[in-house]
Amino acid sequence: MDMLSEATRFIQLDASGIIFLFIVGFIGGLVSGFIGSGGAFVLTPGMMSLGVPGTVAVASNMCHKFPKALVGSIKRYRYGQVDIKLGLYLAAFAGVGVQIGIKIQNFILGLWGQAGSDLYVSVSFVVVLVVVGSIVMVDAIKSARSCSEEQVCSLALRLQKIELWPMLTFKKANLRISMWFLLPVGLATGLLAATIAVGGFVGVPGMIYILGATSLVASATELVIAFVMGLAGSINWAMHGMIDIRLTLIILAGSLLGVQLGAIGTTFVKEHMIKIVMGSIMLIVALSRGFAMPKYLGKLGLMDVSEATVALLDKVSFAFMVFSLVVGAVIILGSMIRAKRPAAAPVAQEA
Amino acid sequence: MHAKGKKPMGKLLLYGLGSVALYAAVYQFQDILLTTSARGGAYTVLPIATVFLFSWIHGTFAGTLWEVLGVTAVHKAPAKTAVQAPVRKDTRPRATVNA
Repeated sequence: MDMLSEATRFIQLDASGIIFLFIVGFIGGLVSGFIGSGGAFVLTPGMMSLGVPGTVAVASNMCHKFPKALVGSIKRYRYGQVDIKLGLYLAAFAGVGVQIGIKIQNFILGLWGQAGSDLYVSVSFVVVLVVVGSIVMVDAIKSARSCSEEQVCSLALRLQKIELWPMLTFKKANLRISMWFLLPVGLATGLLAATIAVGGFVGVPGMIYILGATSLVASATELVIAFVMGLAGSINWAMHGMIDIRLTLIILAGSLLGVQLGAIGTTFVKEHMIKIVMGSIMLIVALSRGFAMPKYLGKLGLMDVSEATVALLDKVSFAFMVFSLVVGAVIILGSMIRAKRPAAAPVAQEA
Repeated sequence: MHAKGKKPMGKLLLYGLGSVALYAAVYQFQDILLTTSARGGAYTVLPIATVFLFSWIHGTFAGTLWEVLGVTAVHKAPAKTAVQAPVRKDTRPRATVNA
């Protein structure tokens, strides 16, 4: 691991940097509280744009993710949306997936160097997000048009009927399925977390379309996975002294406000809104990563691209990433305002 | 988006002050916090314990703030799957022992 001296590891923070981190933390928290993940991917490049070294940015970001996920999952548990058992099983399998992901990354790094590794990450981003994001988006549009209650995917129903030992029952998610179908969902979540740092982009759709959970339960349970994985990752980073606690706490100041607003938002809107927000963010982020690919192709000598073009594409890529988060936040807040509170609906009192 | 009943102003004030005090302490002692966290090893516990403490104090403040502002959950109905796969009936012959 690249050990940096303290002088270069921790930057001087000014007011504009603090405000930027607070706002991005809030919007990221809002999105995470609503769809279970995906709110933190802007923060690592965002912190790096302030001059924070890459490893410190990753470590400090991860250290804010797990307390945010904890607060969000407690909030959504109170609404009866979290299946802790399902979350813990998937987190355990995701832990194995992370190790596999790291091995693949190291293999590619040894084979093609840093540019090859970066290209692999970008290609994974684009392929996974376009495929899964399209499935989620198409399903969301269908659900929005039909205006009916959310139906369990036919694939999930077929898998639930297969009695393959050991069968596991998840009461809150209201499903019974073989552990052997849980395993690939968890592994893929961890693999993606190790590759693109947003495992939930596979974890949540996996829970919906393979296991048969509702979007509400899937997005809420993803917060449990994020907490377990984030805590383990943060301990690892903290042992190497890479966490800038000031950055973590500034982001946390915004994200703890956002994550609870996002969690409250899930009780306001129809379930297909979770899929619409998730699908929109995934497709825009895929586009953003697409803009970053020429840089790595150029470094590998597979494409002729000037430095000025690379610099411009980097800015466009980051702008699209921020845009995806803003789009998600606007859809969430817009749908909350539209839905408002039906006059006759009972009010939930929470501690 | 409006809350019914009494608003928890006392709780908001208490946790709000706690949150401000914690952030002021971090600002005041940021150098010690950073250098100690940077040591790693046994000092791992410092950043982890710090974020747990902030989660509790600032998290409670944030939740109470939304409550006071009238942004509270609409309902708490547990989400259930629309259709559940029927449990397959075991049709295999059952071995019995007659003593």
